[in-house]
Amino acid sequence: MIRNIEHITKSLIDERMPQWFNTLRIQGLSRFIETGIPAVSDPNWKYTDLEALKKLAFDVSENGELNEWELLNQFRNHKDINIVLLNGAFSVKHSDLDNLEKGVLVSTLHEAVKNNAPHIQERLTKYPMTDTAAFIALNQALNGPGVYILVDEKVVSNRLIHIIHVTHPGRQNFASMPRTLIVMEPFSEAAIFESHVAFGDSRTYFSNALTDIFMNENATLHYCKSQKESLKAFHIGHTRVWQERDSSFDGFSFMAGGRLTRNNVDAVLNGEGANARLNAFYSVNNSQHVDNHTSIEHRVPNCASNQLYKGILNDSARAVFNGRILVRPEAQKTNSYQLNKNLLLGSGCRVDTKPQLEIFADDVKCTHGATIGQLDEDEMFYLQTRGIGKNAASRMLAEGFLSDLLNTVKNAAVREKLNSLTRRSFEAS
Amino acid sequence: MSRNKIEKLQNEQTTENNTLSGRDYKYGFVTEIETDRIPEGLNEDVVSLISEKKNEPSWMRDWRLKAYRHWQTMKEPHWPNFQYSPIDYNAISYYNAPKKTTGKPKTMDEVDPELIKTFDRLGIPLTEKKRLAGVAVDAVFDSVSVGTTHQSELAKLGIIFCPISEAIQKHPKLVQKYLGSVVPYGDNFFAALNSAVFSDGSFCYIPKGVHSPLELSTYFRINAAASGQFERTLIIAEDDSYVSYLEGCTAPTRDENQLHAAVVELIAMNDAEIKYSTVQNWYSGDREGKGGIYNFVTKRGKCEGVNSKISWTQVEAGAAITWKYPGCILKGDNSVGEFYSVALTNHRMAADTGTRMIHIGKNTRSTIISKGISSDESNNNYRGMVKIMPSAFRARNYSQCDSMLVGNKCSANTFPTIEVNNNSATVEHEASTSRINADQIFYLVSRGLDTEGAVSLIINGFCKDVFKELPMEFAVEAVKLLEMKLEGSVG
Amino acid sequence: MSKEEITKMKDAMFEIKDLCVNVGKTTILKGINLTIHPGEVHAVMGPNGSGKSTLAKVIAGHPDYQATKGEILYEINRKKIDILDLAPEERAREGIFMAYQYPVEIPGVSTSVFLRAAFNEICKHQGAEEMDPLDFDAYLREKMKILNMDDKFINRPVNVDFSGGEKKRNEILQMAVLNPRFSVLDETDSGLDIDSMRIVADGINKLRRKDNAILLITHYQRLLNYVVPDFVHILRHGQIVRSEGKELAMKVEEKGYDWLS
Repeated sequence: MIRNIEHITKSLIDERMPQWFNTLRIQGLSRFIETGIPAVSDPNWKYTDLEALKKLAFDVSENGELNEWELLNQFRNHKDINIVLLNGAFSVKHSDLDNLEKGVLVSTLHEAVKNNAPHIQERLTKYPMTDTAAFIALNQALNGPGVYILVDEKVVSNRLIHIIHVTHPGRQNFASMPRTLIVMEPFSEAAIFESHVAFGDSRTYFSNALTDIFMNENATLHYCKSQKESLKAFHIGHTRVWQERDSSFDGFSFMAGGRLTRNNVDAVLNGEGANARLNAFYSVNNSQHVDNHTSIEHRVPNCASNQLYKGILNDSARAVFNGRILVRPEAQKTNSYQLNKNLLLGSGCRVDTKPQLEIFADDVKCTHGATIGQLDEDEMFYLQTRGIGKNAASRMLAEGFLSDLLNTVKNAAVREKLNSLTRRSFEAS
Repeated sequence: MSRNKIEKLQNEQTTENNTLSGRDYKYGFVTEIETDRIPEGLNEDVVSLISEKKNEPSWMRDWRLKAYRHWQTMKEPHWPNFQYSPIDYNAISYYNAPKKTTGKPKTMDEVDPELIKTFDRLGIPLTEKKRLAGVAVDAVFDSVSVGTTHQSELAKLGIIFCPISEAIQKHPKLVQKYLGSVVPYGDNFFAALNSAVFSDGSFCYIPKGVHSPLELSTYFRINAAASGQFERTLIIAEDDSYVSYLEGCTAPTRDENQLHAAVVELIAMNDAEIKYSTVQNWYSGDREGKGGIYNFVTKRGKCEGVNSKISWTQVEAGAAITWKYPGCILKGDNSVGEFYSVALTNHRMAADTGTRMIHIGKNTRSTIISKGISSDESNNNYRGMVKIMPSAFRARNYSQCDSMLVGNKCSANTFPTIEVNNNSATVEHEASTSRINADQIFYLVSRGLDTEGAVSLIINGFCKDVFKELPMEFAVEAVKLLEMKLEGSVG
Repeated sequence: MSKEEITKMKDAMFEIKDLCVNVGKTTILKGINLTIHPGEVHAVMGPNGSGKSTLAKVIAGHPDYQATKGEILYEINRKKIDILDLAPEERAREGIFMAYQYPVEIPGVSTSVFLRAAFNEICKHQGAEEMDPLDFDAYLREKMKILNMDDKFINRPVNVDFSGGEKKRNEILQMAVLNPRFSVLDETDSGLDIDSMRIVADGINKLRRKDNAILLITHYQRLLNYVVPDFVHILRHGQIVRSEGKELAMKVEEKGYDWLS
């Protein structure tokens, strides 16, 4: 899959980087080579076949220069702090680093490692490597310079930070490894939006993204990951959230594009009173495949988690949902909610959904549900009798299907961006 | 009374209850009886010997041997969410028959009085005088059926209700046509084992247009030590017929684990309906998890005809481990599959149970209602699969899986899988996990109930959607069983 | 002036001829004839199961209600068109409106967005200019006054968590906004307390004009005290068994339906 992967080892070692970081890369690479690309016999990949990804060969180094930077403007909004990465490399020229708010630190992740930012080693080695995380290992081995954001203690950042990952390789198939680390210090608050975008649908590439978020005591983060890649692209992404006491993570994922998309969001509730919201909307057409996996681990008492995953499928698109809630024996008074709703509009679409509740504490309130269905016939008829044509009526109902989900997004800037993105996805379908 | 006070009150009651060990398993006795036993171990000779002892035709023996050879190529599945000590398949005796039953008795009067007494003690009177009205019973003791009541009455209607070993002799064409047609011998590890060594079980054939006026039932009793029971049941309902079938099971209290690996196949033709109910109360081991039955069961129904219906109702309250997913293959257009389940685990029991609904025909419908109750240090899992095939236009499924936790050392897990391959399908799944709510208990206690009475009221409320599917006598029995099991666990 | 004289005076705008309707395999309406002229209010009364709601549904074009015989002629630009050939939304755009007995709840779709979309579709079809959100908002608020409706409700999803009375008022509001030429009001009075009914009836009266017509379908005579009909028809077993003036409603209220056959 990655061209010449066995011979890459040498180039991973960078003399200027600390020893531990080089070791981490080499460990990641050997782990990936060892586990390889998961097959459908792996229960975590039962409904997502990576055979097509496996067959293609991707380069990891990219020398292509982008000449049409003005194309970027479609993604940028002057109200936001825009941070632009092209093919995994940080573009200082196109990022708004000059007018950052006080107490908000933004740099490349590799720079932060080089400068030995506080706790950086601890954070990058927080999660033990497991057999089931081949793509995390791959990112760990080959990640580009990446982004590091730290919001200082008690700092409330008012402007939306928009990280734009643009993948636009030359003619060669290309593998991009975006890496993001976000640290929210105690009592801080911020809104961060990560977009994965492409210019058009002509390029074949593989984006393997890894974002780690650390939420310290009482921190609040409004976060969204949005993804609309080239229709020839593969996207596999992991977002891991670590939450300490009373922290609040308000997260959203919007999946609209790519040939094959897999999005994992994992949250560990490690401090009492923490709460996590992982909501998502996926909208796919043609023969697109989107697979959403979530995992929420309740380790301590009095935490809440909420998941609402909604998807609209057109044509022969395919969606997978797998949501795991684990409530450890100590995690009494847990409140956990999960719902996956699918609207099937195409005649060839297919959904596989698999919620999993694993409960080891007795004083808990956990509910989950899944629905798969079509537009309601009575609702359609009602709208028609008011003069609204079939297409307009079905779009109206589809937007209605989505609206309560968007209303759960608390931060106005995040919600606004999501509104315009989802509206575009309706126009496209 | 403040919440703290209520909790304190409950804690006090918990400590009190902890000193009780729950009522003893009243079916734990052993019947002393001389048996015809094949020594422990499994090989082709043993399979042939079982076939020979049952005087089977060669096609049956060949089928068993084919199954045995296939079984040898298979691995014991370890995906269920529990651990258990390894099963030594060569330490099990695969055939145990009370000696006096060889050469099957013609009437109940000829059955060994010791066996009649045993079934009497289990609450299943077999003799003409005492037998239950309205229920025909086939009593299976270890590897053989010892007697079947009401046979002649049923025969008048053309209903065949007899031990499967008898059906192989008397109705070979029917058996040959349908045995393995829903659960092929290679279906899974335990089905293959069962196909090789199955001993007894019931055969029911309901002819066209007949609604069985009696409930048909089989009572399974494991008695012999170091033995396994390999029940095989086959029910065929022809066009426009109806039958309600009940199954009950118990075993003696023993320190070692015993294996029960059953296969049940149901076939419903056009407009036919089969209602299959189980109250499973195998010995489940003691408080520390010692002993108990390993219950590995493959149950599946096939709605072959249009408008047919198969309904599974189960109360799983026993066995050390239960691995069981009664399912329906909804092949006929407009056919209906139902699954109603209460699974209760206490002590250190583990249950991994649920259902599979495979929608193939148009307008097929399925309903799944599952209630799991776990207490003490037990582990209770719902595992379900709803699969809508591309041909199943306008298929519908509704599933509801609720779990209740009693005490804080147990666990409850839910693993539903939904696969939809036709966009006209409507599938809804809901699940919840909760504990017996302190406010609910207090409300009832303040109306004069004691805590245990309050809890049993709540449990019965929790399970009522399932109990109402059981035949009356069974429902009463099931409620008593749950109350007995939960005694000492609640607080 | 006799009935015939009126008929001669002007052309009917809505005419049902020998209409038979099936739901599944059951025949519900068995040869209905009904002629309605501009400016008229007709009431159709009948006991439960007589086919009243079926009549409303078939006029609106519900796919479950299949006409097996007959026609429903509606005057569009001086031509009589059989609306059985039109899709439900085409009927609506031509000015046919049905107020539902059980208005449908549509989660996630706000009432104002829905109404503006419907209004603009009708405008577009009739060659009028569409309204922008601000103008429409003002227009909507003006119509809401007719029905004593709270401003808040326009941002709520259509009929979701509305009380029974609010739902019925919302139906009449839609009638006011969409300005139909022919309206069928299906059991609009059922389930309403007297105050709500007065508001709804007032609303209907304000919408009565010389160039539009209303078909009231009702089980009770009560509404007819407030919205006085020109004609009353009694529907029994799928047929209109009697047609008279408004006094017929009083007779039915007094004697029930059994004396009619």
